[in-house]
Amino acid sequence: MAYRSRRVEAVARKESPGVLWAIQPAEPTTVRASTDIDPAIPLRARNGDTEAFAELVEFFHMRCLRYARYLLGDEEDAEEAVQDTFVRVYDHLDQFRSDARFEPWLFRILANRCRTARERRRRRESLVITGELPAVAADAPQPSLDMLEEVEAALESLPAEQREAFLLRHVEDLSYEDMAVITGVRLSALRMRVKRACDALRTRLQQEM
Amino acid sequence: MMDAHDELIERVAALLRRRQSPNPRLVARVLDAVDGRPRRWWRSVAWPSAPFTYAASTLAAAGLLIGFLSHEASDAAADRAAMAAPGAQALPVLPVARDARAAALVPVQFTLRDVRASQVALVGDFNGWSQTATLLEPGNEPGTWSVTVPLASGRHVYAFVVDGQQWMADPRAPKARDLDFGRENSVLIVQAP
Repeated sequence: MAYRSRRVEAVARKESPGVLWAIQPAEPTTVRASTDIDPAIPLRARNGDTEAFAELVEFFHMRCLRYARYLLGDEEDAEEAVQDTFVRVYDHLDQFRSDARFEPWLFRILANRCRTARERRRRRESLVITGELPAVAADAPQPSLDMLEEVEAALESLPAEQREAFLLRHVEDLSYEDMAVITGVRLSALRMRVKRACDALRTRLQQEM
Repeated sequence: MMDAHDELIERVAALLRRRQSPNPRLVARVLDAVDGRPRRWWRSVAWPSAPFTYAASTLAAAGLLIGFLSHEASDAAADRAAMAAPGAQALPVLPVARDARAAALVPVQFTLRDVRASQVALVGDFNGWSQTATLLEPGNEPGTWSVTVPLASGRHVYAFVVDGQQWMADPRAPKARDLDFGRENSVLIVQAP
């Protein structure tokens, strides 16, 4: 089924030379029935239809942002990775094959951008000279976490490769075949990563949930 | 293999999926970023999806300039040889005369020598990377394959798919590595006279 944007509509603003796009807010919706997009839209974007490209961005940006945020643990880094991803998609749409599905293609680019961002941050952090950590009184009240924060903390404690596999499989609901395309990792290894991630989450969250 | 049903994991995933909200500011930033970028003109060409057949009489050398550009600095001869399939040897891409009926298009002949192949497809940005749109015809010499495709002037990325399975860059052409898919393709620049 073709996806039609209802929440945000990107339109060409012909009356303002130099400004191609404007965003018009519309009625808010939060849930989509479909996780993939009408395959005609990426092909239209590839053939130079800028409105189709805007539809792609509008359709996928929330999932991309969620994935990047969980993977990178930082809102600003996540937004930058998602922006880089879509610019890269735009620049390489001519390489998108008509018989391919857009979703794994997009997520592969996004996963690579996230890895790059993570590596960049790791190098940056390695240059920081760490000082003495502030002492915390043993009886200081700990901040209370709601359930989502507990889950996010548990997710963040996973090794990056397990976190990536868990997010793709259980949050983005992608098949192992798509995950193999996205990560370049063998199916058996991906299944093992997902299993280990689930085991770790289960162990940590069993009491809370 | 399906994952075993796990209520706790499903609840975890459902909670994590909640963190999804529209970000019009990000959408606007993306669209602004691409709006300022130069259009890649070949994207707007309506590419044919069916094989082309050209009468032999229309094919004559016309002094067209075809150059190659490497997208990445990875086109060393050893690299090219490494990309070639065992038993495969590519032939030069030959420019042929432009068809008067299609003033903007330049017929380009793609050739490959692969004695083991039983089918060779040409895939590229010009046919939507379709593995069925442009099949090479076997030549008179055993193991030779060729097809002529009218291409617009400009840069094209392409590859061969042998027997529907083996993705293969043209061993004689410069390579363009697809960083996001880890595959190597070939690059060809077509210039009309």
